[in-house]
Amino acid sequence: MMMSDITFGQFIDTNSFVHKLDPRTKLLVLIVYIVFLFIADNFISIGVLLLLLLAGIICSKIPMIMYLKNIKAILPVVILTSLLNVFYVSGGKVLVDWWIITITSEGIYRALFMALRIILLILSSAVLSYTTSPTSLTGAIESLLKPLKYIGLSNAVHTMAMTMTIALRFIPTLIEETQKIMNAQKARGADLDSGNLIQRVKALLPILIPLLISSVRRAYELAEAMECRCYNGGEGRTKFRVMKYGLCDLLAGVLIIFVCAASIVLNVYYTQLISTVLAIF
Amino acid sequence: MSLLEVKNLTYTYGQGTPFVTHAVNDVSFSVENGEIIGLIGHTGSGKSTIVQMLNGLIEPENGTILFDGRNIKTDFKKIKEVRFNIGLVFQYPEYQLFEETVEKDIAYGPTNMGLSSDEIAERVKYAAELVGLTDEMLKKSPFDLSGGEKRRVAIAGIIAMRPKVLILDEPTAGLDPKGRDMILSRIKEYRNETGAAVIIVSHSMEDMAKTADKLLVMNRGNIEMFDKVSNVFSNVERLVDIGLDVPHVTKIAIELNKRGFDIPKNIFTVSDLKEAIISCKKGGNL
Repeated sequence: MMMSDITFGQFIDTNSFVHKLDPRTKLLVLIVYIVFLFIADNFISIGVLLLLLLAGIICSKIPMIMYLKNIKAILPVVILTSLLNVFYVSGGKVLVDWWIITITSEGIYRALFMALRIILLILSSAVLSYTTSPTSLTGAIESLLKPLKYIGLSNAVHTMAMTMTIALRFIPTLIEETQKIMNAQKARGADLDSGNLIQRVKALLPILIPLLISSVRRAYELAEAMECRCYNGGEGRTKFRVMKYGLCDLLAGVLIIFVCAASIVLNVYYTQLISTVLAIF
Repeated sequence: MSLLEVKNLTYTYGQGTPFVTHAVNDVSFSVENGEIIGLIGHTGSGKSTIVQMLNGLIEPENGTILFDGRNIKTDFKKIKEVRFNIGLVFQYPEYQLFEETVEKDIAYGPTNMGLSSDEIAERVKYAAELVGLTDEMLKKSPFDLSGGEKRRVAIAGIIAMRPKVLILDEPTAGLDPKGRDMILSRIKEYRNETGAAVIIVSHSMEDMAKTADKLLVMNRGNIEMFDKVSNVFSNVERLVDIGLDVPHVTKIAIELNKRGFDIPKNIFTVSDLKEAIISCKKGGNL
């Protein structure tokens, strides 16, 4: 995988309706969505979830190609999982029976289903990470974990959230830095793509050492900059952006959870629904 | 035949994403042996993209780069060979140092070239002397040196490969005036000793006036001017228009000229202005 394919934490501000939702709403809705994704047991209910996701993607006003990039990155995982399902799930009609390989209709069905489930999982997370800046996301986590203060963990929650914010903030910086150092060493004739395993690991040292040193340097500088601005932990710290739960959030949250629940109803009454439809015709 | 010939170079960032920018747009120029070219332009004008393409680090979308008449993409067995001939010193190169001693760090490039240990030792010595590093410094860890010294170590690391074209991306950024002069004079010396061509990316018009023979001015991915330093700096208004400037002494000379003093407008260094004022005074005009 190329470095530039990593889209994690890439916030794209198109200022859409989805961007404006409270990050806590988006986080909770995503968790609920993923749970229902795993409860969904047939194509009709997962289809409803797919439509819901498409609605979310369209509302986010971010070009589809950005989402497709995510799928490209995890394609090997999708293919591997699907293949395992094709070969190991038995039941239904036997389609191919050759040597030790048996492919059944149930296997194919399961494989397609799993592939769709993984893709939806990735895409739904992408909607969250594209529409929510890392800072507001960790803000949401901090806010949702607030109840922990009743068991004496209030400072720990803040420290954890701050650590996560900083870590997320520095992922792109470190990727960029790695790219720069790689280029600089390549300009000195470093060979990163050939040779046996030991040679390759050795070739990485000229990149890892400067990277480590600059990370430590950055950490010192950041700590100093934070102290200069009188940072002293979470006690009494107020927020620049105060998160407010609006009517929009409530409606969006309820609506999405309602659609998810509907998909599960379809799950349970799937066979009944099919027979009803058939009876009508 | 020129040492380095660039024809119709084009590069676009973020193809297929919402963030498409034409970093370099159909750029052609050539560089002769022994020339020092100053590559100037405001931030984001495509300077860094060009130098990385010259070195084969990014592949141009379109266009060819000929080194000594050979296409760097097709006429070399390995891209490494191109990089040994067209040496590139990145911005803030001191952050790429990694070896235990300065000596070993400078030897990294020559070692990758597959030279004999005698040859490597000789090249390290040559490069270290050229940039003014003492034998005592060679034994030290690069992390124990000052910022300016580290910068010189990093430049020596490229010079030790004896490139025929030496490219430096902002070699004097963040250095004090003494460190700046030191680096620039060493680069000039490398050119004088080896006859190599040098391309310096810079934001400092003063540095360029002192060092460069020709200036390549970039604006939004296009070449705005490519001419002798004096010709470029005579277009003050156009330079200001595209977010650049002329050296301070040039502005003073132009002002003096406007107010009727017999001082030429094409003055780019403090010593030239001094001479001009002295001769003007002798002529009884002051």
